Amino acid sequence: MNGYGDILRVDLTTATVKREALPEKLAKKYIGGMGINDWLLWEHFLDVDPNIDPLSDQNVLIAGLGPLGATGFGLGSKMKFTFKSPVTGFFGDTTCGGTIGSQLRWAGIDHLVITGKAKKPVYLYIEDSKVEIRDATHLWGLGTHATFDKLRSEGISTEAGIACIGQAGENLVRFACIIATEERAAGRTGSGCVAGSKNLKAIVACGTHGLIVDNSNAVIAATEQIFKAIDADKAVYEFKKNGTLQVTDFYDAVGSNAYRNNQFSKVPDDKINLMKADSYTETIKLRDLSCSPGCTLGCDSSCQINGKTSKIAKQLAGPITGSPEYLTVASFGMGCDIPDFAAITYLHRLCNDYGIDIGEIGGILPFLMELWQRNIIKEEHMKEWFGESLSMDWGNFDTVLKVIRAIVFQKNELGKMCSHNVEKLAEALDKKLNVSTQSYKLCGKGGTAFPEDVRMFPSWALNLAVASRGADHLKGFTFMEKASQKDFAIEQFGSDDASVKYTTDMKAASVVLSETYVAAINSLGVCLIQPMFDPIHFPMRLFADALGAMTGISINSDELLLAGERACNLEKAFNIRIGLRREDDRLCERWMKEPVAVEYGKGMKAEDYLNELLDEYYVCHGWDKETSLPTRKKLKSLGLSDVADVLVKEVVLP
Amino acid sequence: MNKLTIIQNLCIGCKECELMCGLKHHGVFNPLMARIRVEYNREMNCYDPVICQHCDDPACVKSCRFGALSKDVQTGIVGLEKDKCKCCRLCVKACPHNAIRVSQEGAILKCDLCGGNPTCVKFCSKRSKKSSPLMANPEGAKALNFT
Repeated sequence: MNGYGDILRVDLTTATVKREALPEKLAKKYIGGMGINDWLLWEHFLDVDPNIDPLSDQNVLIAGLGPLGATGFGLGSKMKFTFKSPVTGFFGDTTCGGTIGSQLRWAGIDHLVITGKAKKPVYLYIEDSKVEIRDATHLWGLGTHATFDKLRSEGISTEAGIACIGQAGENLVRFACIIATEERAAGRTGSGCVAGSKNLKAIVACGTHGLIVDNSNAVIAATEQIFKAIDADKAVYEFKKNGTLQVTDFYDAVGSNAYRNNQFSKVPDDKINLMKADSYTETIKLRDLSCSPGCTLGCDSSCQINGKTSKIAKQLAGPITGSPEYLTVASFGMGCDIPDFAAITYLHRLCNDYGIDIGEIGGILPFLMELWQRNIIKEEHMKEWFGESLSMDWGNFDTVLKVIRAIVFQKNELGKMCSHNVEKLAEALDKKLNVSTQSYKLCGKGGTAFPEDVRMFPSWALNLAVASRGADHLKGFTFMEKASQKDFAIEQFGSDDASVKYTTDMKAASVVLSETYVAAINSLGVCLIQPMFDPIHFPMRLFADALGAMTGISINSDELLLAGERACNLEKAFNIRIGLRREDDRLCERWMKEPVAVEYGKGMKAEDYLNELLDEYYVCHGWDKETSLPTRKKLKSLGLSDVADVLVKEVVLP
Repeated sequence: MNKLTIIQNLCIGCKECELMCGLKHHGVFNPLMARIRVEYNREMNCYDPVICQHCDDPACVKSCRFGALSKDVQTGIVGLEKDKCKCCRLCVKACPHNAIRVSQEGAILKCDLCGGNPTCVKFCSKRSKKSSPLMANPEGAKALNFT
């Protein structure tokens, strides 16, 4: 098959490597990237008990980049890591940009399947057909930036793709992540912890073969169509300039910036102005950057804390670095109330250096600060943990730093309590402090949700409650409601109901559609942001044409979406095997019970609509609404009877 | 006569030019097969495109002992006749811009401006207006231009 590479299986216990061609049947059924990763995970856990400890050497770390990644189609190269999550205990995956996935594809490898556990720290070196498991003892203990530098000083070229863990992964912090050159995070659900548990410090890839395309004229024609689609979006230049930082302005306008652990849905004007994209541009931004090969959007950027912008910046002046994202601003700027781009950028780089998920830490820190505000965590506790009187007042940058270090290096009881996820932290604090902290945690199943207010947007509340990898926005990344995508709603459903804000009409259907879209795009290996921001100009036909030109696989839009739906069902089926059911698709108390206080969606709370939306959501998916189990009929219609056969041995399938 | 020019601060390092150049000339997505190269500056965390300038007085042409390189006076293109090239690499050494590359197989990779409609320019990313203080450009400007 043109345009596709191999599957490389690496067993770190036996230090053996096996390279096999990707079966055409698998490519046609699951496309690649996320879809094939999901299949490889499913396949792995046919022989291994799915209820194993995620830190066990029986867990698997799968990496894969789809067939449109590492190409010039203009939408970047997004690699997916898939595994059983140490954060949530169920399905885990995470996506990153960077060069690692592309270099692997140029070396002829689409998927890595890493099993077992090395006896001592190692890194995996791949250069075309050469695969070596190398000693990494000298890298152990280094942050991710120093790891990149050390490897490059030892002869690894700057062109090579590197993905590595920092100290957090080594110390088995559950939400440790993998960081890829240059500072791109495979952030969520604990990829770095899985790597650390395998004594795998890094993966280095360098490919010289490239990708032979099936029909280069057709590829050029398909690329031109994608470029036209990018240009057709009137807002594209705003996104190119500001990246995800533009979300700060957007959410300020619609009211879902979560301030001080989402006790408020709006940040005071004097503070929000310091965190808007314009402030970043004016104070520390240097240049626009692409996060991965072939991304012509270039929503990333480089920046430098120059020490001139604020009091705090004076202490933090440092090297030219990567840009913070909306997630970083929401976590530290809004969540912890540190409205200073120098501080936010410093914390962004620090978390990336240690290799921890800014999403999870962005739930933990504001939660702790609210407990301090409520006098639940007191000075005596801080003294016990840190040996000094530390205040956890809102905006206290120094304490935030100390807590992060305590977690990464597992220094004290607080660091250990925080090392799993915000739900486990709340449980541990309840026991220690003999007070219930449950009302203050922001989460869904399996840990911290993306730090934004979702109560007024039923599609996002539902999206977070049902996401297969735990409370997160990227599995069903829908803007139909939030951005009032009226034309797209009418095109898909024949009415504009799904695009009307602050109502529940058609929101479940829009989430199911988005999950399928996202799965298809993630399986193709390109970035989903622009296609989901402007879906009316990105019909699936564009991707089907590109895939056909690249690989010779003739597939239409419906078949592409069907492949996406298969991946959604595989993830669901994996979670069913772990024991997840309808009751697990939930949101935290704050979002369920506390009504929105701002004018946008005033009075809305998730308990008023979530149950009804869950009913509709399961029905739209063809799943049983009482239990959330996929039905045998549905699985059969997707060509997944083999999956149903596995499930019926463990559950009564409707 | 159009000239290919580079605005350094507008390059986002997406490698689209490399990928599309390799595709156009060899039918593969492989940056190593491109006639253009995007160099990464780790300290500055930025990218610099390197491409043949089709010089008025080309050192590569002078260096070639086999008459494989020549400058077309009408188009301005400094072109390579593959049949005459012995892959001696003297042109690679002679180029003051370090813009001539050698493929994995040892063949000389020399920009030919795609005959006057360079693919790299066509697919270079359009940038926003004044995206940063360093990028004082109008909306839609690109790092690679052929004007």
